Amino acid sequence: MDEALRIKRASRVAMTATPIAEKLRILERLRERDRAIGRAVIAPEQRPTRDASA
Amino acid sequence: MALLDIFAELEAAVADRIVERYAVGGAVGATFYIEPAATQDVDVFVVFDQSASLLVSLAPIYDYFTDRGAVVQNEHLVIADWPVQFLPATTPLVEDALVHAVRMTVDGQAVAVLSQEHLAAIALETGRMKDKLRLSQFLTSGTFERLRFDALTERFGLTQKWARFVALMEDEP
Repeated sequence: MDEALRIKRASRVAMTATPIAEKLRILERLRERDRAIGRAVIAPEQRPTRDASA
Repeated sequence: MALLDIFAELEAAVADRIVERYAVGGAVGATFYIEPAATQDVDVFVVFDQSASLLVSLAPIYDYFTDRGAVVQNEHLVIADWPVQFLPATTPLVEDALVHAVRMTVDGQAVAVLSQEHLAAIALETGRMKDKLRLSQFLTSGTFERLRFDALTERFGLTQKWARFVALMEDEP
């Protein structure tokens, strides 16, 4: 098996075993990071749509 | 932790009989089983008493939480600084998911979360790219009950979608 894939799978298993509270804290930190770089929830009517004529 | 405050508010809504039942789904629900994936909102599936009306209305939920300090923002209620979207159970799969929601406790705070097999089935049903990625993570989580998931795909007419998903993943190592 490819080494990078093996490491990724191992880290996924490790994350599955991480306490839920810690994973939720990570989720909150990820959101803070995204907000800091300007990502946010965008209402469906405000989302950019592909120009049908294009 | 803000998410725990949201869970406390959801439990309060059940205690105050605003909703019959709820369960956290989406990326936050998935985090109980797999690695966290960035999300900007919290999806909460709800069942509530509709005996007074044939129309599904979230107004009682909105009234309840705004009275408790939440702010309406588009289709979300902002609770504890997180946009929370309340989704009525409108499909048989989601109804079943709510019946079989799992009670969990995080740092002493109770919360109801959709089972990972139901979350996976909903991801299969929804079918966006991020849902497919999430589904693949459930399948390799090590705690996923495959037989239970297979029964759900059979029961809720998802076998063709499942076959397409498997074909899509076949080339993956």
